[in-house]
Amino acid sequence: MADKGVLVVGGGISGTTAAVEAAEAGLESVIVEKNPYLGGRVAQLYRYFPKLCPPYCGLEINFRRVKNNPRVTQYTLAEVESVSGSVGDFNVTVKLNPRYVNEKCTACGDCAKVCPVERPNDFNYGLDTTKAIYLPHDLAFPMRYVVDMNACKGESCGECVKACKYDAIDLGMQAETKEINAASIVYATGWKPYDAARIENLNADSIDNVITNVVMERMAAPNGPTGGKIVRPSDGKEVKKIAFAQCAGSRDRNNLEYCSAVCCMASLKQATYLREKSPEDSEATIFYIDLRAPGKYEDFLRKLEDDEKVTLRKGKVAKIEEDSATGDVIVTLEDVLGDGKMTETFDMVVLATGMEPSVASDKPAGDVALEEHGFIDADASPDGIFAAGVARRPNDVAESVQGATGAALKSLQSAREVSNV
Amino acid sequence: MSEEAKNEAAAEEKEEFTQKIGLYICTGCEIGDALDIDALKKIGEIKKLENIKTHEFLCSQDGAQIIKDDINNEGVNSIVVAACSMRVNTDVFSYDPLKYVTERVNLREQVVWTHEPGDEDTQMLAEDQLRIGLARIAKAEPMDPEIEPITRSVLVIGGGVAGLTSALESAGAGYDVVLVEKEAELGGWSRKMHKMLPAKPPFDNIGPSDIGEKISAVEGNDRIKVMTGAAVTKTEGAPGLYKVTISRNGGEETVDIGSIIMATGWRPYDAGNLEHLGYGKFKNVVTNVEMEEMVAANDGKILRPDGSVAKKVAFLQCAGSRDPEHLPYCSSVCCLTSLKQATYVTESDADAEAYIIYKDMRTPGLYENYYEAAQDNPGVMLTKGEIVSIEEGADGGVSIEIDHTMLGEKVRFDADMLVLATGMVTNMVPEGRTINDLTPDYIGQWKETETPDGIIKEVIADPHILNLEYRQGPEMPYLSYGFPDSHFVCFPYETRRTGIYAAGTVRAPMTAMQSASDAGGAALKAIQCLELTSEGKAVHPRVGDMTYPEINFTNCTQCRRCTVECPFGTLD
Ligand SMILES: Cc1cc2nc3c(=O)[nH]c(=O)nc-3n(C[C@H](O)[C@H](O)[C@H](O)COP(=O)(O)OP(=O)(O)OC[C@H]3O[C@@H](n4cnc5c(N)ncnc54)[C@H](O)[C@@H]3O)c2cc1C
Ligand SMILES: Cc1cc2nc3c(=O)[nH]c(=O)nc-3n(C[C@H](O)[C@H](O)[C@H](O)COP(=O)(O)OP(=O)(O)OC[C@H]3O[C@@H](n4cnc5c(N)ncnc54)[C@H](O)[C@@H]3O)c2cc1C
Ligand code: SF4
Ligand code: SF4
Ligand code: SF4
Ligand code: SF4
Repeated sequence: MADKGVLVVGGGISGTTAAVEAAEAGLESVIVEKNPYLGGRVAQLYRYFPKLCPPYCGLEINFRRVKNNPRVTQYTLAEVESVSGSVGDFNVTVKLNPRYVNEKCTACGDCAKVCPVERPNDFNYGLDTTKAIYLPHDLAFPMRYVVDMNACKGESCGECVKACKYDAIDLGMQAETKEINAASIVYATGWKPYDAARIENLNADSIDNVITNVVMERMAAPNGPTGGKIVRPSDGKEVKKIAFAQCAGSRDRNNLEYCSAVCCMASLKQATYLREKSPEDSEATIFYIDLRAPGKYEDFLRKLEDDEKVTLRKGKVAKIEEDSATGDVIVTLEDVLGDGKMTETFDMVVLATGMEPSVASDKPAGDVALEEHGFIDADASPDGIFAAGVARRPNDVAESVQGATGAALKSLQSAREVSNV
Repeated sequence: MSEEAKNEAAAEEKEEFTQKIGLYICTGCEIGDALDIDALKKIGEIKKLENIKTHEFLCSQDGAQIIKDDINNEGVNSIVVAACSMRVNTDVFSYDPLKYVTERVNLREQVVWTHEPGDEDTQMLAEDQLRIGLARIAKAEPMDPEIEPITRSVLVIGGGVAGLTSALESAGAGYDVVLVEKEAELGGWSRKMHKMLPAKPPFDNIGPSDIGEKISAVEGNDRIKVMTGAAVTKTEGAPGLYKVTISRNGGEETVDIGSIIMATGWRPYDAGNLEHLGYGKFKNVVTNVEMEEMVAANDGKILRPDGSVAKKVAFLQCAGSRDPEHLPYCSSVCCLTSLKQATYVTESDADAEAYIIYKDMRTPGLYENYYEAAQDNPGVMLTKGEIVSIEEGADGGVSIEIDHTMLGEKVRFDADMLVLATGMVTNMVPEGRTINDLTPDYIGQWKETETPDGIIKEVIADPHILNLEYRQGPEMPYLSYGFPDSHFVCFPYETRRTGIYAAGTVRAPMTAMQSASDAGGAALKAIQCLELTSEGKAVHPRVGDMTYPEINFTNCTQCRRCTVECPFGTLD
């Protein structure tokens, strides 16, 4: 029985999982990912809570499943342009943006050595730069260079073309479109970090040594912009005393009304990054409203509670200021436990910003119903449209994978046109 | 096509294999600089190979193409890749194992990268590696997977919301299901709830349960065979080939099953251990489960166990949870259920009040909307605090003193009734066992055996849900607190028994909405297992692997190692 397949929009952990799980159950699956690599946001994390294991371990396993399964096709630098039809017979137009580097690329890196142009490295949230021709990151899948045409000087330069021994660069490569027919569509478009500049009292924009939690992940990563050193952006000084401000813009009627569900655990995890790097003389304080460590994650919280260099303090951060002489950061707290207002000075402050659904601002083609915050409400969408991962609701990797596997099942049902539940 | 017809057809398709070897030597990655490639080619020439090719970058698109061309145009069916380790470039040098054989000769990691380039010994090593590879491939034949006719049906154990949903989802994808529920009625705990938490956007209001509709849908579905008042007494065999014995009404029957979903749910933590919180000591201290049942039975009225109306109800969160003495973990749903029950209180009477005393209010994600709604409810008071003492007040009420409040001082207040928000224990843990004294890996009993080498201590697992006839033990192993998972970040459905998947609260504490969603994923895994097994392939993490051992009994020393290791008891 050759089932008609599923098209998955977004190739993060959720989308990749949905596609391989469906394919291993017999379905043709196509992943449409707009980045030049698969993996999504978890590729940018240093470690996973609660096991503190490297996210690339699970990603590699899933990429191997993608590579080895002829039923999975993946397109990177791809976007869905239009969707028509209905369950069992969707017609999807996919635009494949040019990579300017073909399959012959061996990732030798000779091109980047000669390229004269630099661009901000979006993978590291702009903390460093890459050349105009670059490898998205050192474990990227597919392992292939890509040209950022907004930065590249074009054919007039062509240095990279000359340097490439494998004839892999084609600066004249054009966009293509592909028509894909699928029985169902899974949206696994994930999230983007909430823009901290929008939280008025926290001054994220104007103070150098206030960073967000996603930047902290890159800083802690050995392949990140600081080579794994946790240092202050203002002066490169090693951070010894750090604070985390929870619910930065979340659970807040002026910003994100909901709870992002992962940032308490993320801050607890990031406190261990610092504590591990300098166990003797580092200190971390977490300012929270409620510490949300559900289920077995409680064990992880208990581990942090047992570390006397970690302070967990209930209270909402009211104000963040800079000590302009030292670059230190002064935090003022509304201490709800009754000690009134307090202020404390830190080397650096991490804002535990939340996850905003990426479709809220960047709605992909197709008839998807969104709930009030921009998460996809599959039940209110037409038959054959499903959502997985953070596109569906804020959650961690385990729950994303669980939902993605469920979406694979729904796709199998759509493809077989057996009675839907 | 029926399964058997398919297998026969597959057998006919398989022709006699006449070997034609192609040898492909990569000269990239320093191999060409360090070795005498012509001498290597000679070895192939001596063997009279017609297709010997070299490429300066065999794993590139062009390099891989010369092999593909030889397969398509020259009839090469045995491919020797003399290049890098077999552990890398697996996708580049991958050819249909049912048609071709592939041998990887490692000239890179094991030769040129680890030995003196250009040295005589290095060259000899490379030549030996190549001779070994050629000798090996001469004996190889394409894989002939063992395909047995399998049963394409799913067994679901447990008929709560997770089990019912697994059954419906599997049936909805076209598979037959046997659903075994030990109680006389389907529905599990969800059937006992007065109202349910919000389960769809905007997640701000409670509503009636849809469990009745689920039960009817299951009962009315032709593909689902429901067996209530039943239990699994024996599970034998392997994925696709299980024989499961089910006992019901004193009788027993054995059914053929392909894969299994375990959805046996949860039970409340034993509040008998919570005397320090007044349970069992004061008559108007109840658990959240008792509260739920009382409100359902009294049709929304809030009555105390003594029958009088309660107008002021206190809720104590984390009662026995997040507590190493009792349940060390968080049960994830009890903050939400107390908010729900607080709404029962304020709905029952315009001046009724609910007080919730919590450590952290845990309403993650979109459930925050419901927390917000409760904060807007003037009858619901929420305070962070820890209990100092509980006493019985006048007229049977309770008097509670709490500390670490947001006011910074100890406060005492009185309530007509106290509800303990107790947690959930997975039904992997048999009744009567507490999660703090579980034996490691398998829930069972320690057994000490005297041997000449001293005392050996081992765990003898207790039979409970699956009753597997496996040497490794009758039940699923667990990692912590009885939850049957093995890798709960990236691969949450992997248990440590192939073909058996867990769904719902047996796997981790979660709400009914999450259990239903979880059940869909478990159904997919169960289906996937059937599909892959029917093709003779292994499931994740060895997905697609078609190899299986053939035992050479003439060389067997009867060490019995395999009978201990094999989960399916194939060689018992
Ligand atoms: C600071 C921080 C730390 C975290 N740490 C952990 C942790 O330790 N453990 C854990 O379990 N969870 C953690 N999380 C949560 C985790 O990051 C998410 O659960 C996970 O990223 C969800 O994966 P996803 O695939 O749903 O979304 P994403 O990772 O966002 O992937 C979505 C993919 O879709 C693509 N895409 C988006 N729109 C389109 C479109 N229109 N067309 C095509 N492609 C599109 C994107 O490019 C992306 O590749 C953390 C979160 C934060 C904020
Ligand atoms: C006080 C309280 C209130 C709650 N309120 C809500 C709410 O409003 N909304 C919400 O979403 N969630 C709520 N929950 C959570 C909800 O109860 C669970 O998420 C849900 O019951 C999980 O369903 P399940 O199918 O996993 O397990 P269960 O409901 O426990 O079902 C398991 C089934 O398996 C059967 N079984 C067990 N062992 C065997 C065996 N060996 N063989 C055969 N059958 C077996 C059982 O008899 C049972 O029928 C509440 C929880 C509590 C504690
Ligand atoms: S494009 Fe060419 S030069 Fe650049 S990394 Fe790829 S193979 Fe090397
Ligand atoms: S053509 Fe573009 S990418 Fe290539 S070297 Fe020049 S600037 Fe860099
Ligand atoms: S997870 Fe924690 S930090 Fe994040 S929004 Fe929820 S309560 Fe706030
Ligand atoms: S859900 Fe709330 S009440 Fe239940 S254990 Fe967790 S924090 Fe405590």
